[in-house]
Amino acid sequence: MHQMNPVNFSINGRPMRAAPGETVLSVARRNDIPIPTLCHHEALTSQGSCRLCVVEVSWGDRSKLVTSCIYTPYEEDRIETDTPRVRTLRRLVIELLLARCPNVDVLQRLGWEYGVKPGRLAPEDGRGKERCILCGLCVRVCDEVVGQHAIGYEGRGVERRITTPFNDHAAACIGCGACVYVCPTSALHYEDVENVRIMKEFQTRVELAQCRQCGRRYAPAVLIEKVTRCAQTKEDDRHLCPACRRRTFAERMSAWMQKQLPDARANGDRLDVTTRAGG
Amino acid sequence: MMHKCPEQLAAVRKRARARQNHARPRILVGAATCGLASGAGPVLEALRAAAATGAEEMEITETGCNGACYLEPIVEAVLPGKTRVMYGHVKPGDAPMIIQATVNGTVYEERALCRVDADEILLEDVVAPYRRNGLDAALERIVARDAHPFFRSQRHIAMRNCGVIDPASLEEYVARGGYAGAAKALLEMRPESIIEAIKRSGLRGRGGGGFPTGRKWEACRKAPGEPKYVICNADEGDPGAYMDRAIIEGDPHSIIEGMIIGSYAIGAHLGYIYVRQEYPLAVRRLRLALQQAEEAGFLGTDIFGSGHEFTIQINRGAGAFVCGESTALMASLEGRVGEPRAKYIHTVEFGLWNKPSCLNNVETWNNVPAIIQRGADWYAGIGTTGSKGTKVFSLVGSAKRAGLVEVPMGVSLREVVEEIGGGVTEGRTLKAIQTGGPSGGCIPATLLDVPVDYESLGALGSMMGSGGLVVMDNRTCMVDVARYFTAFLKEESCGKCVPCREGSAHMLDVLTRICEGAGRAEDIPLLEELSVVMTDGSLCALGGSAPNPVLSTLKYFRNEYQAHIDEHRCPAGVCKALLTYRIVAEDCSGCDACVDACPSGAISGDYSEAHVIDESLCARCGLCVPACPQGAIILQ
Amino acid sequence: MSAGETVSIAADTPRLEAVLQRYRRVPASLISVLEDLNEEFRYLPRPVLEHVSMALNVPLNQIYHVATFYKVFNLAPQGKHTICVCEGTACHVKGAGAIMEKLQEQLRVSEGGTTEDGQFTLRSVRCLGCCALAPAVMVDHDVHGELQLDETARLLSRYADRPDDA
Repeated sequence: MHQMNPVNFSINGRPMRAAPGETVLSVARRNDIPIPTLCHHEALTSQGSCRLCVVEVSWGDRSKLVTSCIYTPYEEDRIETDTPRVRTLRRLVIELLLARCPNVDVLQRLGWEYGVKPGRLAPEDGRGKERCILCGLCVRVCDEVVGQHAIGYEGRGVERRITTPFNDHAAACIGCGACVYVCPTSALHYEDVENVRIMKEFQTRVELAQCRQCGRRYAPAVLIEKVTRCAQTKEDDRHLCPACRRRTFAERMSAWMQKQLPDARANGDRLDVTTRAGG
Repeated sequence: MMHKCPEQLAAVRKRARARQNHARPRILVGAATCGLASGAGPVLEALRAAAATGAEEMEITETGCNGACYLEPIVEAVLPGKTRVMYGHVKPGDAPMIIQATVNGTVYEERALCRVDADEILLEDVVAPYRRNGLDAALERIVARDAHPFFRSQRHIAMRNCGVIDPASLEEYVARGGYAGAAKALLEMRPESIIEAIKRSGLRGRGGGGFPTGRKWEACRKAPGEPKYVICNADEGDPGAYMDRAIIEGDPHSIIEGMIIGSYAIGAHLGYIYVRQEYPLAVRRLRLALQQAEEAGFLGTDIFGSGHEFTIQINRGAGAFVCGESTALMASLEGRVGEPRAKYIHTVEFGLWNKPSCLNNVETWNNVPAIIQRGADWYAGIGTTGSKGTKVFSLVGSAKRAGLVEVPMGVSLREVVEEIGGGVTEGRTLKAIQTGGPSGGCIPATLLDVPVDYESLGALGSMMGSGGLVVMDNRTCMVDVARYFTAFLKEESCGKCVPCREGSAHMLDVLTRICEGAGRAEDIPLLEELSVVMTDGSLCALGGSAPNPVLSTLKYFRNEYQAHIDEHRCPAGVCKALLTYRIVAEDCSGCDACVDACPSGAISGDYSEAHVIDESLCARCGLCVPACPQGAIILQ
Repeated sequence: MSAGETVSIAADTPRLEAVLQRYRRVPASLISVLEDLNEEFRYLPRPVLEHVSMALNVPLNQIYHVATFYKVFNLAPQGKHTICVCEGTACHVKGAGAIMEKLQEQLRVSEGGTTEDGQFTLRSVRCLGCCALAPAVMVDHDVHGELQLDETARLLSRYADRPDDA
């Protein structure tokens, strides 16, 4: 981006070196300097929206707050990650999030850590039952990693929500559950009921495929298709549930060993077999 | 017709000017949105009908808004060889008299406002007097525009053509020196010297930030990466500000010309105009102007034979205030939602499609041709040390003479509000001036001597913004004003970052409960803390400046907050929940007029007996007050 | 198109294609395309958005966000006439709130709603830029300035269909 060479700067007085284009957050994490985040994930584009990762940067006699997950340092920047100004801002941001999502344990822990006074911002219009903090990790993982674009935003401002287009069954959803996995506040869930996977917050049902050996419904059919296309699984294996696949593999392995064993004995070799079943 | 060389442009100019100064009388009807909203359409029809019956040939055209919106519909009549007469509050019924007077070379005094004795062609530094023959007594009686209180201290540079030319005519724009600046820039100047001129002129962004325009252009020119883009921000969003609409509707070519000059200086070949869709007339005028400029060869390849290539595309904003923010605007141009991003990397380096992009607003682009033609020193000679040139303000609210006012930077707020605006509505007193729109603040009447320039307004906790000046009188509640702006910003927050999205909603909750008489002692410190998180923590300037209306009213009108919270009283008599309407028994004649006016059936009483208002039913709409012939209903 | 009518994609393909052609199916023209379609159909029917998603190769989640983010877009059918009450600062100070209340009462709809007969949709708008003529109201593309509370009924009657030509 704007710098082509490594950048020398400091975090909390310690000299640091950032690779070209590397953010302050990344450098801090490499050096075990804690900075809280809620909307950041290494695998996804940073958007700098939760504002928890703010740090204070000084150069010359001036200073300002910057968002460490998107800010790439300049030469001789002095970064402080825990100044009173930083702590005040984080405390207020957490207070705002707690007012929206009082029952989220991640926020409760952060609130305790930063000394949030409880109950000051009790919303008067029913906001406050939420678990979603609108960090957007689920949307980004679906767009950028899964590539299905099944979920997105609706509206703007405080009315903004994460949902499927038209709040209806999302045809694009493959039921992979990446959104559920990446959610920092456990706001999303899925459940497998008989032959379907229900994406609970997204009004979406995806059919589960049947294992060709045991007949168990084990994974969404469209997901298996996609994985096959991307990962080139062996033709025979992709229609098996993990348990059957493991067993099949073990059987194949053992058959191979049976074949190898007599020869090995004949050669007087020691055959060291650890049964590490793989799928 | 292709104007490939400046000689041809000069020939067109000469022809157009000759046509304009011919012997036929000419009538101009202010038909910008403000004119049309006050009935210019029927007036125009009536004038055309009246003119059709006469023998005399007469030209009747539409024009833009000259700023005196409080006088709309405005009609101007050019009396060849004499003067130009301005009429105000014209009704269709006045048409025959105006036509007759114009034919006779005199004035219909009933609606006459002032007369303009000379036509100033600003771009060429020419003042051409109309007056070659004597005026009759009636014309002599009309006040000259230079002596009219609304116009006398104004200086029109940005509005040089507004209300003077037919905005649908390229020829008329050219006749007043239009596109000569572009020709000069492209044929006689190097890009660097244009940038140098803009820098030396001291022009700063008129959209709000006030960033020096020349420096922005220079950074964009120097930024690596191709292609480069120039963008015109015509998504005028501040409620209470409408100068950009007036300039587009009245003088669309000035923006195109500014962008041609800018594109050449920066090295861009594609420009975008992002215009609000809520301004349908402006969109139409711009489209027509673009088409005309393309046909004339002012846009396209090899402009004026200079080899420079430039085209412009119009995009309509789809109704999001946040798109006035440059990164959000660019996201919107890319077909995405208007969400800002952090500006650690400037848009002059990584803007639209991550390419170097130079964004200026309408008024900024419109000033460029004037600077190129009249010179940087001329422009820098107007205004103050830090703020050069003129600025158009929309003087609205309870100003007596409301409209668009263009004055040199640095004149005092008092001069604008009291002398040009004529103070506040009769019987009221001036309380505050809200400047800078939702990101600005309220300046109390006691500080009216502040000069209007970027630094002085900023020092008072307000800002220049795009130039809205909303005059507020004693019947305006400052807590309600803070609540209004906070509601606006909550509605317009994109919702991407936590402080702006959640903070504005909580701020509105607090302000609403104060206005409803349920405020708590700890609410003021709470508002201040919410301001901190929004100012320090928001991702973009919309959220960062959102607390300004609250902070500035807290600073200057804290006692009003206290009255709401401690005494459950709204001193201005605005916050409905805190009002009580009462009928003074001694003054009530029992006529039932109020009973008929009351929509909620809250008033009762026997005929000719004193009536009473049931407070539990009263919706506090206030309709009973003007209905009472005795003036017996009072507000407590 | 009045309230309640739905759009059948098959029947409206020519209208839809005309708009897509106007912008040469460039994905970046999404907002312009939606603006034109919103005027064409007076709202954005779901099948239209789904068609646009395929035609421009823009994912539906992005289109849905755009369509719900910008205020000019409607996802539900609109009335024959749209009334926009200006909520700019000058209008606010000069009583736009009372005008809005009066219109709500006369039309028997709430803000954003459409009357039962499909004649009017009532909305608020940011600022019409007619601040010197506050309070202002825009019906379709006509702006009416300095509107008095007792003039709203006459304003509505100018636009409403007379019973005999309904």
